[in-house]
Amino acid sequence: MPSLKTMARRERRQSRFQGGHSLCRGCGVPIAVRAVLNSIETPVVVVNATGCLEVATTRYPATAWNVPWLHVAFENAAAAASGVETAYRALRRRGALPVDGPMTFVVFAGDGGTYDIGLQALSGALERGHRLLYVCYDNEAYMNTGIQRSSATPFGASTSTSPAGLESFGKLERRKDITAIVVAHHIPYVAQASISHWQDLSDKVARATSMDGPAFINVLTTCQLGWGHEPRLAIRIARLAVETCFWPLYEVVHGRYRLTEGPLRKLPIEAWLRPQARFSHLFAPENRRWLAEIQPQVDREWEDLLARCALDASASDAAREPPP
Amino acid sequence: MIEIRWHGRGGQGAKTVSQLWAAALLEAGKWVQAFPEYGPERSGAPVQAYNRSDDSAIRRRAAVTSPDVVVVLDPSLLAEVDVTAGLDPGGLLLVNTEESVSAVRERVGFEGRIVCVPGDRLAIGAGATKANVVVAGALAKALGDPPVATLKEGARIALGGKLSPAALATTVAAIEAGYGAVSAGRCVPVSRTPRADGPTRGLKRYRDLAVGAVVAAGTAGRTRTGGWRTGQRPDVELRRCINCLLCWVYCPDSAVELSDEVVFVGFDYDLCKGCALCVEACPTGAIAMVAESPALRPGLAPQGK
Repeated sequence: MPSLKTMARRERRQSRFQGGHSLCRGCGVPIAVRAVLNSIETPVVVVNATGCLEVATTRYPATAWNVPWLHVAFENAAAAASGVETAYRALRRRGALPVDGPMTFVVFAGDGGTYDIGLQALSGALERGHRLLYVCYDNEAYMNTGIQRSSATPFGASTSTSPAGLESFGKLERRKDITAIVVAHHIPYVAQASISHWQDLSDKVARATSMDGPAFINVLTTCQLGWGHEPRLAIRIARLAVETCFWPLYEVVHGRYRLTEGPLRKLPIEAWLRPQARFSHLFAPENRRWLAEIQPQVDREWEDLLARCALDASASDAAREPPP
Repeated sequence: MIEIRWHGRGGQGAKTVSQLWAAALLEAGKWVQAFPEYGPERSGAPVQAYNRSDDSAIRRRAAVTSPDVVVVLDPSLLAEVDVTAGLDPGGLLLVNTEESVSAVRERVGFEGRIVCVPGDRLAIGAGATKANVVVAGALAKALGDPPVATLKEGARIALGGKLSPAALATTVAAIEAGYGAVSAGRCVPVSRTPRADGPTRGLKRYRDLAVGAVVAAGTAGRTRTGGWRTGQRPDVELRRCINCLLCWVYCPDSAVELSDEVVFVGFDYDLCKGCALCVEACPTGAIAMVAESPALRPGLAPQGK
């Protein structure tokens, strides 16, 4: 599994993603991108959906990407990547590549481009079985266009299209469990990670790219502007999402669930909500009943996940038992 | 017609102040326009906003390229952006800075009228967190129009729905502080038609551009985003560094410099935006934020909510 030294050496040798982009001060997205790209040994091709990352890293005539990089549209990053991967396979079979060798195809898309706009392309690519790593940087709203709610936005969060105020409360719907939807495609590798846990993320990238088929990693990524926190707190807040079990770190390998890093002590969900301005209205006395709804939601999902992991662990233990 | 171009950084309220300005002039019976120039701009990045005002309907819809007035909300932009591009020598350059007029003149090489206002200091004095409305007050005085009462009305119209009564009162006080800080002047519109050699000089015509957008890889590193910092930069005490590389992995701007042996050697201040994630990540407390120009924006909140 890659160590920080290995990752740093890799970046020193070839900086696949550079600074000088115009993502916000303290943005969580480039942290995810660098951790992913520096964990991959082979050359990479990156396909990018529309979003903050795409827009702010490619201000014409400069680009932060130092790898082959393709952007087509918001809704079709997975389809475009399918095409690139298939073309590479076809050219390789024909012996038409100038240099033959393994290649990793990586998609970066935000929650808007994954949960919502790009869902059909993603589903198609997963079902067809293209060998690619799809990384969703999930910052829980349409940050690029001004913090509109997405289906990844958590219950209660105030966004510009679900504002908290006298007439409106914040998002009234719960977030979609995209990871479960991806798991339902029966692909070899699915995982949830966070920018706060670089080793866990890096290990998952290494496992994902060793699979012979599609892999999907959903990375929780902070947005200081949309979440409303000081830029310097990005990592701390991402860590709190894990420690409160709002964002558990787990992987699903060939359908088997496994917790990769459990919190030593599960913190109350308020520890994660409180430092973020998008949840500040939840702490007003008149909104206490809404706040009280959130902890049971988190507990239920966490317990379901633990049960799932326990079930799959005992199933794989049973499979290893020699027949009587 | 008077055309104004506002230069600021994302989060400094260039767009907001242009809307406030337009609301005031609309109230005074003018035809007005106010719009920002949107690109992939983020908090701290150089941004522009525009105003047009006239006694009759305004047909022109394009960006302001030959302004009568240029307003600079952040003095660090003078070194980063060609703020006087297209500005006629008969026009006005208003800069939020602690520097003198002659110092600014020497930096930008502009022959025309320059007005400097210490907007950040005045904003703090008025209890405000942003200098944008202070500078609007100064601009009204320097141009002789609109009257300060009209500008304050503009603030009530443009911001009344967004701000609490207390915050609106602070905004009004900040406008007055700016209005009182400069000497009165008058604006004579100078630019009627965009000049061909104006701000588009040096840019390619559309026929000369490559089809599609294939660009040289890895070129963003030449963009100096260090100007986004708001007065503080990270500083390291190497004696305490254990080379854990956590600052490196958590730096969003690839501004942590390593030697060939991947040993931490310092920061690339051309890239560092000053987010302080490295300070938070450092387990030994070797990194701290230090003031890099005490005269620049003391005590102001960076940005965000």
